Amino acid sequence: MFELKSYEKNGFIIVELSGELDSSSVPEFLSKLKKIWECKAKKIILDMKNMEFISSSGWSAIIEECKKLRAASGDMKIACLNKKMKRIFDVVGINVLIKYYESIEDATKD
Amino acid sequence: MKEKFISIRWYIMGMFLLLIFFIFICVTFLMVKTQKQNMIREIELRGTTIAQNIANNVADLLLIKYDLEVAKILKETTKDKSIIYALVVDKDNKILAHNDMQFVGANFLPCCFKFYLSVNKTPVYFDKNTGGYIDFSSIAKAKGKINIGTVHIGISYSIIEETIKKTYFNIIIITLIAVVLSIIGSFFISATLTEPIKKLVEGIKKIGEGDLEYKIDVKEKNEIGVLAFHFNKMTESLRQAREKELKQIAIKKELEIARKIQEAILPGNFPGIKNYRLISFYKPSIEIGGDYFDIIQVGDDKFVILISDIAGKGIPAALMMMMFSGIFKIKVNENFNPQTLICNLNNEIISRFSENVFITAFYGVLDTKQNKINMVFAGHNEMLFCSVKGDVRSIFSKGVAIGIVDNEILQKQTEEITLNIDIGDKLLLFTDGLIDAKNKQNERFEMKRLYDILKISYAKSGDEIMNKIKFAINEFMEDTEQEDDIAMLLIERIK
Repeated sequence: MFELKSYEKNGFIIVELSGELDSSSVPEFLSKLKKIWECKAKKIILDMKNMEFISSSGWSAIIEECKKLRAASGDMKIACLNKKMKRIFDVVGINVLIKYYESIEDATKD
Repeated sequence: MKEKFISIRWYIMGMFLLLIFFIFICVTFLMVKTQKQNMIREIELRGTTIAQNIANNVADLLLIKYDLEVAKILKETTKDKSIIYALVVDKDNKILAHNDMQFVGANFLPCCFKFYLSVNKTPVYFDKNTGGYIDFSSIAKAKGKINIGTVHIGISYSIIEETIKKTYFNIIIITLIAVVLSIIGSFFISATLTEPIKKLVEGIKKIGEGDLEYKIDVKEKNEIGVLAFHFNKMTESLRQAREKELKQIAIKKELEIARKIQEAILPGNFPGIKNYRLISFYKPSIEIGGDYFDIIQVGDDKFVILISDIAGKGIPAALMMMMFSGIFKIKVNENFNPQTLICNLNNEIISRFSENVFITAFYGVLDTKQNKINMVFAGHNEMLFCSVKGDVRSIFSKGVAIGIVDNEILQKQTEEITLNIDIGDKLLLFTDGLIDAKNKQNERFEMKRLYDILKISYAKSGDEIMNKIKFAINEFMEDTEQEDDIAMLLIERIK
């Protein structure tokens, strides 16, 4: 079950994701995220603390959104990945593209 | 359904008949009651009047002892068949005159009492010979003063009974006519009511048999009409859904063909590699996907090995995989050096696709002379190395998946490593479909299970190990739908 909630903090939109982000939930993720950055600020932090699994489709959707945001002079950061997902994040090399923070506080300060 | 079927028509007719019976029972009860009361009043009036008349007529005659005349008058009175008797009694109830002379001198005793009529509590007496009768009396006063006796007349009660019988008979006849008429009427009324329902049932039957083109023709502007309208609407939606389903089946078939084409791209036979054995396994997911592996000989003792996973599923991933396979074959011919090749592939992918594509790949160059492998992990998961001594460890080097960043960054971030291979060593390469495979309990296969299999079976041949993994993954997944492709390559140095 995938869920997406968002709130504002220090000029960032914190997007709380929970559940599994795979090919079945990617369309929902994309449409909801698009709505958020279309009407709110374009600085987004993805809060992954309740996330259980992200498939390759999920990661590619995150990368796609990040690239789109940056093209629209926005930005995307990722925070609170669990150990397993952090490993994939590093293995795939997404860390090269998207900045990672251990907590939302760190992400909003930077 | 058929043996217990009772049409609504019969219910409607039954209800009609019940209603008719109820109405007629009520009417009968009321009519009989009123008629009985009217008749009693009439008889009472008549009886009292006759008795008074007789009393007036016979009083003077009795005074002068004109008994015969009196008897004549009494006899005259009883000519009316409804009058059973007419008599005169004295104070002691002794009969002075009677329509039947033989009773003169006897005592007048009304017969055994039967019942009271309900209106004025008039008593009704009963006699075996004459049946029920009502007694009326009037005092005969001679010259208007002298009480000479009392006149009694008995009026037959059977008149009332007969009239009531007649009334009953009439009502029964009317009831029968009403029943017949109501049967006919309710038959037609129920027919009008049930006809659209019948049409609806027939339509539903046809639709149930699969004829989704059928339209129920009910034009009634009532609940049945509304039901038919919505039923037609539902059928239309069903028809559209079925059309969609058929289209999807067609697409699924096409996808199956596409998957077969895709599988054909994967090498069926590997080039013979001296002193090495290569075993592969590929299990595509239900949908077509994007796992790809290849082994190409690039020199006398050199073989390039690629295993890659295109992010995503379905047609885009599959098309991407086909294209990637083509690009790979071309680029390998240009330069098979690991870092250069990965950069070249990245360049091609980035220049063709600006977004939503990334490919993780393991790429290695196996030197069978020096027994070593130079490799890069472009965002791909680690491989498991199983030494002849039973050490199992994961091998990984820093890298970035193809298609995420520019070559400049990619090159900086990609590390090339070298691994020496001894006799009996085994290298297990795989895509994340293996470790991410889910079971019924929503658990994933995970690296640990794979690691444990290798740890236990390190001394076995590559074939045996591969079979064990295949068995383990099938047992783990049971009949859970496979979400992602699973590809494995096992490289074993045998000499």
